[in-house]
Amino acid sequence: MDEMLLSNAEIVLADQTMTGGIKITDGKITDIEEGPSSGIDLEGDYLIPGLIDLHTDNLERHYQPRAGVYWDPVNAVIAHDAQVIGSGITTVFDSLTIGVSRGSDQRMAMMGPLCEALAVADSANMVKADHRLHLRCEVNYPHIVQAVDDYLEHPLLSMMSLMDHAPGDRQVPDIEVWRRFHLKLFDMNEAALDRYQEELIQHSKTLSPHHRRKLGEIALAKKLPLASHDDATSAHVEEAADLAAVITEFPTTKTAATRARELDLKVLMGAPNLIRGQSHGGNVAAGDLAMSGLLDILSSDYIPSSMLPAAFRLTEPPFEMNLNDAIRTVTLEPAKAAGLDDRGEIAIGKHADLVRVKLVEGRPLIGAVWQRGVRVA
Amino acid sequence: MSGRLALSNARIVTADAVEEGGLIISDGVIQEIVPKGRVIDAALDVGGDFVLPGLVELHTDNLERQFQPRPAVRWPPDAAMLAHDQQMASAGITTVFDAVAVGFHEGKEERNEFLQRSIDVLEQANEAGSLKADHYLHLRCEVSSPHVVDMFEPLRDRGGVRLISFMDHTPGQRQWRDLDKYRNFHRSGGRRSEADLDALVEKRLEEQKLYADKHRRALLERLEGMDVTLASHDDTTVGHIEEAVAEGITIAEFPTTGEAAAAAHRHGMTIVMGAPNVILGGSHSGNVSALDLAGSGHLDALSSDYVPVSLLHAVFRLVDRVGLTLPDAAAKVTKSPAAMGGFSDRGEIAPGKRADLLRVRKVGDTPAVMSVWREGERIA
Repeated sequence: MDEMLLSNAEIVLADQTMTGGIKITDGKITDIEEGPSSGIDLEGDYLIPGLIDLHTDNLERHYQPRAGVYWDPVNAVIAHDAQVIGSGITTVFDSLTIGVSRGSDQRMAMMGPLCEALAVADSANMVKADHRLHLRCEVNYPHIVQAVDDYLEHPLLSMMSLMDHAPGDRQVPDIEVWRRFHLKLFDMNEAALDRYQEELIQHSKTLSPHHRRKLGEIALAKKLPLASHDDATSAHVEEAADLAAVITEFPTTKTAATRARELDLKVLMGAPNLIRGQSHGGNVAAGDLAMSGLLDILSSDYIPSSMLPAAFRLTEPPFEMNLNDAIRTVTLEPAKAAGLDDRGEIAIGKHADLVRVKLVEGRPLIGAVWQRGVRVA
Repeated sequence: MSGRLALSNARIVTADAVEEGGLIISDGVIQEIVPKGRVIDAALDVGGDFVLPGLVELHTDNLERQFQPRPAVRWPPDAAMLAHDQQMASAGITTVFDAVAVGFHEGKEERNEFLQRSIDVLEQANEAGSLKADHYLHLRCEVSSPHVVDMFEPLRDRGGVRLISFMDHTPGQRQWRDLDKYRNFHRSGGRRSEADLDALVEKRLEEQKLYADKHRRALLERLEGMDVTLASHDDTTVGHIEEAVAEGITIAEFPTTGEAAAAAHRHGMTIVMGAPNVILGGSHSGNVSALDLAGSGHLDALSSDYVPVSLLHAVFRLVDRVGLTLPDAAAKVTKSPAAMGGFSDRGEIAPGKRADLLRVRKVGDTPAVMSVWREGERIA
């Protein structure tokens, strides 16, 4: 039996904080005790559950560290893992894009090698965090259902999300903004862009509703938590609820977030959005949703180190959440939404996925990270 | 750093051998290498993993990348500094020279902003004691830039500046010997017309004529009396090396040809190449391969350049592909860059050296960092 004691910590439980220690046996929390105890002295630092990140694009960035430079996919997974675990994230849903829209054909090409590398790195114990595969499905892609089918047996598949990046809707409601972005980014003239725009809008009209239903059925049959991406209207959220989605990811308006709350979908927003005080795409600010009590979950989106500071930011003005509620947005809430009932809080019987946090000049610094009771950072 | 740390059951990579045994550390300093067979009290059993010296990185642009994680996104500088530091520590890098660009051409204005921010946040984070790795500044001075001397002036007396390199990214020479590659790179996905590119090349050439020599001399004058190491960048010809040597420069960073590398060694300079170049089996801009230089003995140190984890991976690649011994390959990212950066207290596992250490397990061909200690204190 492998036993470890941590003492003299400010232990952040799901609904209260207490000074004391915990006992870990074989990777699980087996005791929580208030007051003085023996063991590794955490010197009054916070002890919080390991963070659970439901949506990060960070792995793709390591696979292509510079435009045109592809890294060995297994090494990319290891580099990504080091960054994630050092950011206090002990369970990470690596989101990979499946289905082509302009500019994401490169991302689609990353799918195969990265999925394989994730499985290899995980089975050989090369990674420290618990990695899961989150399939981001572009529903206006004509062959999306078939494409998803290739990954349904992936050992780490744990979540699906549905997105539609057709212009004039959702993430980019203003077609002119979409056009400017595409003209700038791709070698396309106006006429080619016209054709492309028309094709996407057409596919979105004719194919997306059917694809959403099919993929929703697949998620349900496979018992995979389903998220809807960039919901902008009440109707978007209602459609997601009909598919038994449990999360609305990055809703772009307060209207959508409000409807999600009514329909019992969890609202997930990006931690970078909260830190920066605005969305990089000009949509609703995570902070505004937090002020209205409509923010349930924060994900790192594209900056792993953003999650912990974002949770602490929620305890400061103007939000002034209590620490337990704030930490839940990056631990227990994502765990519950993803159907992981063995982690996400410091409680007896849960995995000993833990982070020691010291506040230096109000900034949370990570002192140590344990995964299943083993120190990994 | 106080306290004692002991490791046992390790394969310790010293400067000239891989020794089985353990290590005793106290007050942040290596006290003793204990041979296999002798029991060490209260030691952490590392299960036969390798223990290497903490890596020393002479040139990384990773900090600047954290300031701008996406093209339209600026990240708070203090948060960027911590994110960068965490990435260094988890890649096994315990001493790092953060390269920041001094001098810019138009379209690079953000680099001036990054420069000021880098220096400020580094100072602040050091004062707050919030950094895991030991950070220093590497000022990369673009000599053909109109602004380089003005920008350098206020930095002369800032703390933490330890390495200064001269670079010149004018098209048609050094890194951009191949003018077509330069034009392709700056075509920016079709945003620049051919006429714009012509004008850009013209302007760069003009600026080089006006400024490059003048600024090199002006910077050298201002460097008199400073306790810093000098490096030249992207040397391509024997002439480049001779010029560098005459100026008191001791490091050739990323020479682009075997000829320049050989000349650098003849003149007693040391040579740094990018670890991504080792991993990818060639330079991303089509210049000399670092593996070839390692094979001909013209490689002293590696830098992670734009991929932090590449430094450690490159060590094992040099063993597998070039046939170096593990201690010799490890020296390229530890002992040798430490010496080139002017440190005698670190870079090897030996009694009296700083206990900057790295526990590494090889899984298949891939080295995984298990733990990192700086002065005996665990940082990753």
